[in-house]
Amino acid sequence: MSVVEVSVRSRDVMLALHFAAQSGAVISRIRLQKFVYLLDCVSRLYETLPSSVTHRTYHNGPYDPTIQNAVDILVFRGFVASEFRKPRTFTYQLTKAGGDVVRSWLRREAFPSRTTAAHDLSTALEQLGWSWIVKLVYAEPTYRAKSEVGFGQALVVDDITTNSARAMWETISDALGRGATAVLNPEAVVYAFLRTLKNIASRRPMPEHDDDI
Amino acid sequence: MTSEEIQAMAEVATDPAVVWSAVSGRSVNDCADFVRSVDALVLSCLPRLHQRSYSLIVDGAPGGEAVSLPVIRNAITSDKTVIRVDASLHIVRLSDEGLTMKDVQRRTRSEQTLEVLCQGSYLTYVVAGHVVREGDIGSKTSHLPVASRFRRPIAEFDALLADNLAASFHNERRLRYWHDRKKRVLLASPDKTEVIFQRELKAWLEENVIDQIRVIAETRGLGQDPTDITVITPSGDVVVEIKWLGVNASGTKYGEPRIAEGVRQVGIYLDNDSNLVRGYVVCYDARPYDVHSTQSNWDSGEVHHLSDAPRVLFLESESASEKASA
Repeated sequence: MSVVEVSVRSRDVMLALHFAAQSGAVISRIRLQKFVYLLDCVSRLYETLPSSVTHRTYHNGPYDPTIQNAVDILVFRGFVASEFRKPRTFTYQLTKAGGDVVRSWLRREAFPSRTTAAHDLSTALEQLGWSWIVKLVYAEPTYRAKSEVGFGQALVVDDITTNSARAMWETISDALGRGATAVLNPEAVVYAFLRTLKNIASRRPMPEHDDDI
Repeated sequence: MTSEEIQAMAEVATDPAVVWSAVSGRSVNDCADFVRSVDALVLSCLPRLHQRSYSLIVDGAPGGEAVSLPVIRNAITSDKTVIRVDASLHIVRLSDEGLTMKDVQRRTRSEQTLEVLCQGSYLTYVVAGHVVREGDIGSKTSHLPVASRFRRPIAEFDALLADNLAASFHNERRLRYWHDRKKRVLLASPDKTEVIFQRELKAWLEENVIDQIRVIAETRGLGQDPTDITVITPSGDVVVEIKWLGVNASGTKYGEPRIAEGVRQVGIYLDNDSNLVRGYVVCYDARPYDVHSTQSNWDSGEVHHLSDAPRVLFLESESASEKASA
């Protein structure tokens, strides 16, 4: 796990906490992992590559230890505040210093693609309900295929040769964009992708987590 | 992809708000608001507009007044049935462009926009040349509007009457009006005899006159009888005076003079009401056939220039088998 990888994830964590707070959502450890995973799933839509760090199958869905390291460092440095919530989880929110950093990024238009992707993902989750985030990830095709194999499986979300997240939203884009002469609005594609996952999740039993808030 | 995934995707890809958002770059929320507003508007106008066709196309220009029933009615009466609106459902302008599916697809493809074709409560959402969703928002079942072979413009009044006679009166198929069919006595209760005929014709015209905006019965203004029918069309109003001839169960009898009475009454209405562009007298004749064929005359000098010969419709009381055995 390199310093660069943790820095990249620190950016993702701060964007996640900023936009989640804007839509009134509380972010727990599990939700944070899920948000960043979905962010990587749709990143190619915004002409950015997913993180070089791979999510892997774990107990409660996809897991990337770099994300937890990043948030722990941000708490230590005073950019993020954590709060213990019974029975066994933490929730996170940006401190004033952390908020200032994100606002300065937005002003300077630093990481514009990643910022827009995080914003659109957060908007879609607000429309569909943040409480669905865990179930959406469990319904996502890359995770579903690999979780059946076992723990520790690498999740390559943009592998177009398999039934991956990217293969799904590319198919959705084709369906939405029939007749379109310009580039599709990625916000609509992200929304359609998540709503498709919600439809799948609604049709099958999905695990619940006691610390899912 | 699994069939479950394809089904889940199809449900999303047929949401006009999502497709329009993808094509136009507008937010999903704004597009969803627009679609909800269109559905609500169409449903609220339905009792007044019936099966009339018009379309709402999203135009890039800023709009003014909010689209409402009077705006749509104005569009229909002025034959400019393509209503160009902004994304907030405010009117940009009325247009006399075509209303066929081909027209809608061509327009939305070239303008990369959304158009909603409304045929009564049956809506077709087209985005960038593709039909995204269609169905009846007025009912849970979704059926294509079926073109009725009986639907005609009011100008084909005689054909409308003939269709109505064949479909409803023949063998009392849809309407019961004989008290004693063999003796040719008409019903007089629970509804009055004239009300029986008025209600049937009004329902028929409402269902089948293509260019009607509204069909009014129980007209009480300007001295008309409550049993008359007024058909409001984009090219003016048409009044229909209804009479019956023969005898009914309460013993009331009307003969040939009743026809002339109708002719004079329609003349008075046409003189008094400048909105009326045409008047008809329809007499349902329950008299025996020989009386019908010899005593159905009127003074042609009394027929108003906006009217023409009264229609005296003989009411059959014998079925085909009865006729054959006679």
